[in-house]
Amino acid sequence: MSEIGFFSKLSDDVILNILYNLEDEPRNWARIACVSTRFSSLIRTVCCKTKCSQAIPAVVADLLPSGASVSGPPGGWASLYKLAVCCPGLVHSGVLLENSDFRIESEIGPDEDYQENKLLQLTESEKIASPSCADHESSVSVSAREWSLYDDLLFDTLYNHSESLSEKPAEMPEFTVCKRRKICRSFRSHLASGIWNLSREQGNKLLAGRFKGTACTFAIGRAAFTSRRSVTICFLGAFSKISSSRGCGGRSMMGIGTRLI
Amino acid sequence: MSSSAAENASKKITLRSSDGEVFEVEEAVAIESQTIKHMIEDDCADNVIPLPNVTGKILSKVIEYCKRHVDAAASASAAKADDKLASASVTDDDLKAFDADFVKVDQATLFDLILAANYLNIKGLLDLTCQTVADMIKGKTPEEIERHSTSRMTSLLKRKRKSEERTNGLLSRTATKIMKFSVLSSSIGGI
Repeated sequence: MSEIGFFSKLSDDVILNILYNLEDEPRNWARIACVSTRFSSLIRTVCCKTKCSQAIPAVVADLLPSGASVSGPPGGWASLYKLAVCCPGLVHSGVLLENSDFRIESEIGPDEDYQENKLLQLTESEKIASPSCADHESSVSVSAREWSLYDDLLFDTLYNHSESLSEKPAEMPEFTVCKRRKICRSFRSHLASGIWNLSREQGNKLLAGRFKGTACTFAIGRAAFTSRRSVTICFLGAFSKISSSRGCGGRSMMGIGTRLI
Repeated sequence: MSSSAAENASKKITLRSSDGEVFEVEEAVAIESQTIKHMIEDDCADNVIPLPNVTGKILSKVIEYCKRHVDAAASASAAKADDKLASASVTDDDLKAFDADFVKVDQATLFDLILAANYLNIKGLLDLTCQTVADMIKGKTPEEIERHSTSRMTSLLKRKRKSEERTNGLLSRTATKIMKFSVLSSSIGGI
């Protein structure tokens, strides 16, 4: 799309100044990226990079190879930003640490460090989940009408609690990637209230309280991140959970997450 | 020190806009703009500071903004020096109300203010105007953002072009039909 109207007169740094005023809600950037190629380029490169570097500096440092000038992590800064928005605290939430075997060993070999840390993380997540459950429920009910990116996500990646005993598929949602799916329609926000700061604690409190013990409904582009064991574990764990659930097939949902925003 | 401060306060700076309009302002107001401040410090401007990128209309608004903020800062510091916190907060509220009204302008003027604030390097004005544009964009669909950010002239030109395409299309189709009809008529007449 060509450059338009008033924004064509503004320099990139001024437009970035405007865009940074919209960083609190990820959908703003997603919408603006659809307006013109210039906005898309600025958001996908500069804005996402800055946000990721501020919010998840450890992950950025892990993903970028040291000593070389690179354009960004595998999959690009926009992909990393999407993942940070959709998965604020998978590792810390304890959702994926129910079972020790996610068929990871067959994929990438055993991880002694993981076995050692597993118990500690499970204990921490249980401690955090149980007292925060009550708080979480009240916070969720307060924020029931707030926007949640997770609501968008649910249209694509689906798991149905109420229809768990029924085998017939529910109505097809707007974005049909899986041919057979059941609609998960949870009307409450799954994300923390307040301004997004991509804090892992947000995911910790909400995911642990809400999705602990249930199938995870994330479907994220696994191919983008293969360098770090800890990140890989998260994604494989999510898929494993889905395939063992009564919902959609696991591996077939890999591609959905990349087009969510 | 106080005499030099008084001297600075009363010292006037002359600014000339791109369309030749001349404005005389106090130095304290003029140096709200970092660009002008550097020009003065570097002794680049003798009598008049030319601002070729800013029109008279926009420059008058910028001067109004700077003057109001300089006066507010002076009032606030005086109130705090006298330990009058209530009056300092009232000044802040007045300033916020002024800022809110200041940016209630048409889009062309708003974007010109952004350009002027960027050129003159007035951080407060730039932040205020950028925040205003961001608030305009918030919650809008991409189509709405595109529609709102296009000037009236551009949208009129687009509509004119589209109607011309439709008209040309209609004319060419009509001309084709007439030609076919005439060919057919001549062939029938020939028989």
